[in-house]
Amino acid sequence: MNRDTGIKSIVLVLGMALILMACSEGGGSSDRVVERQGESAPADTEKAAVELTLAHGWTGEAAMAKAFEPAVERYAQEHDYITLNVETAPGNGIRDKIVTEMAANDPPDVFLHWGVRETERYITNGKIADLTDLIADDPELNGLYSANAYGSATYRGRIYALPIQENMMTFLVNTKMFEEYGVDIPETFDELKEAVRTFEENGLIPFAANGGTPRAMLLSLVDQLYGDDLRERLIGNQPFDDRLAQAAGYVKELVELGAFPEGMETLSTLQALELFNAGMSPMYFQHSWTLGSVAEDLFEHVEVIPFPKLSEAGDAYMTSAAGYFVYLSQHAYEDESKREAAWELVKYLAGPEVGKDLEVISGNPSPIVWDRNADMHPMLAKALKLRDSGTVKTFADHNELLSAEASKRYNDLVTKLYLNEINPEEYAKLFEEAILDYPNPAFE
Amino acid sequence: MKKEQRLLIVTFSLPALLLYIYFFLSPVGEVMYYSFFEWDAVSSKTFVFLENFKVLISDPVFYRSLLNTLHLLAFLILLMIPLALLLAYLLYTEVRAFKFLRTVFFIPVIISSVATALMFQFIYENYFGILNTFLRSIGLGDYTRVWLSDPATVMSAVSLPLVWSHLGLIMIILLAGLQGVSTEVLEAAEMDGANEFQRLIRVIIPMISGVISLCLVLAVTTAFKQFDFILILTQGGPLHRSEVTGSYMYNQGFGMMNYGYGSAIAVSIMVIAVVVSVAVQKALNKAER
Repeated sequence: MNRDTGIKSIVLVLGMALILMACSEGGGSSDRVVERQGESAPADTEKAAVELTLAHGWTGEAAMAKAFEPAVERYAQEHDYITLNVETAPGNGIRDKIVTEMAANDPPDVFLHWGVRETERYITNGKIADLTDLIADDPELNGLYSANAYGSATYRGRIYALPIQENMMTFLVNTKMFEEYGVDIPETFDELKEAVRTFEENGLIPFAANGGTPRAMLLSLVDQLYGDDLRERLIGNQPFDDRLAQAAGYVKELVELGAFPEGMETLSTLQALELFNAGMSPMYFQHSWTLGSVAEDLFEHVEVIPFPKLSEAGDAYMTSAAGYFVYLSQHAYEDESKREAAWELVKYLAGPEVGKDLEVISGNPSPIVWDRNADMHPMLAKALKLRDSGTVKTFADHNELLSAEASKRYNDLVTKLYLNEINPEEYAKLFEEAILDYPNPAFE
Repeated sequence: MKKEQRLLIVTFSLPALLLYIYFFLSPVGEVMYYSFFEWDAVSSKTFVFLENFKVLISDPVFYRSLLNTLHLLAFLILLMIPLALLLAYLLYTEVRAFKFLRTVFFIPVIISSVATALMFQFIYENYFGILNTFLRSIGLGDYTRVWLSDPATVMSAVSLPLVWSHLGLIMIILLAGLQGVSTEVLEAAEMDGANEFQRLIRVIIPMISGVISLCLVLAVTTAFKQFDFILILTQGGPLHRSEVTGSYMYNQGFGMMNYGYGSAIAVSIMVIAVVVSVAVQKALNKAER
């Protein structure tokens, strides 16, 4: 091959590469949009065949799967004109799946996700439908949910999703183990430290914990120290003060007392729960979605109590607010052949039938307001009884008020705190910097 | 060559060439293209030219991930390749039940990386894991560790499953190389009084240096593209203690939605892997001469 032929070959290969690159970049999205827009809406959209895609992470070992997956199957069977394609990615995997599909401009029609902190990019880029008017016009939704259930799905005054899950932080104690070791159920933080000491000295791991537990404790301590003044600080409108470092210091005290398992940062939430289920730990403080995974033989010995108070005169707090939602993609909303069926699916998933199943079968709190009866999952019944007793004040998960970046930094800072890479004062300083450097656009 | 013949060659090679360009070259081109943009995969792209690379140069996590990748590479080169050579040599000498052993040694290769990672997760688990339970049961409780968190052990702990799962493949490649060694040469060495060890070091290894060089290149690419074991075992944590370049690229791209920056990391990984591979090749060629 001579020099000219070589050069020609390289040019040919590069040329073809560029053509193929151009084809692959533009091909996926716009073609499909045109095809959909070109479809004419059938006269009877209720009965016309329609194909919908649902993406969710409530599959596998998560307790929610026990109620949610059969509910989805039931819906598909009852609506024979709907072809429901269900895409699943367990747990946090759903985040990566949605990102990829959004990037490919091929989002699922309906999907489950966290609040606007996680979906802000999709909202600002028109990937998610604004449901404000649909909600206002739908009498079925009037008074269906608990107060402020739309809070974390609201972005600059508009609502983008219906709530499906209430996020509560529940403090479980194994009363049998407390009795066995002669320890009183702690009501104050000092009593908690005393309980930790006693259990630790007896070779137990006081808290069945993973990296989420110190975060949950910090939430409760900060709630107690700031009370109603907290919200404005978390959204960066007011500065924090020494109390933030003080709260971090309390968490550090528990770490130093040996309250947590060694290497808790390597455990998943359900792995941490196994320490509690196996009787290796008498206390467990975690998200309420794990209530459905508490071992059945422990039900009669486990009580749900408020996180101990810093002072007897102070208020007890419990994190509780809607934190997981059902979204409708803008594609489905704009597609007249899909809109109604997709909206019905959204309402069904976030509606009373699925909500009740989630509470009764999976022990997963729903934001639906309904007459909770004796069939309730026993662990959830105890948690809801405490929350609704009037003895605890409730506040949202702090993450819900932070931007995605600030939330990530917050989580990293708590990890650094309990791994002794920073001290409480540094934690407080860096956390406040994260809030100011990365303000939550939802509140701008 | 006649014009018609050239046309015929081009016609027959074109489908394969097009597939190669589409599946191999165009993604590389796309990643390079995206690395010049600030892009979260959803919003419109902003051209920033070399800004992502400037940030990368001053990113301490990237350097940490690079060091961890080199740690992984060291494990593959210093542990996996010698061990694979030893096993291949044992099979080559047709030890008893060598056919059975060949299958046994190769089994880890066909086990999915997810299953392997989960298996090692069970082994390393702090309270219920086999390793710590075993150490406690034989009175070595002081040596128990949080293997996947302790800065002193985490990288070695995540490297071992990689070695275990790739050992069989490297062994088979080396065995194929060994089977190409002329028996006359070995007999001549034996007649000259070389013992088994001397034959291995002085005759066999130099004769399969080309195959060893291939294994080294495979080790380099395996280390730099490593991602699945890390993702399942530690997700690069805690606090980036086990972050490698592959996992950092993934976390930036999908976790943080910094697609542009993730692409810049991918381009850097590619360049570094090519440089290291070429350096290894050149060093081996020089040693061979």
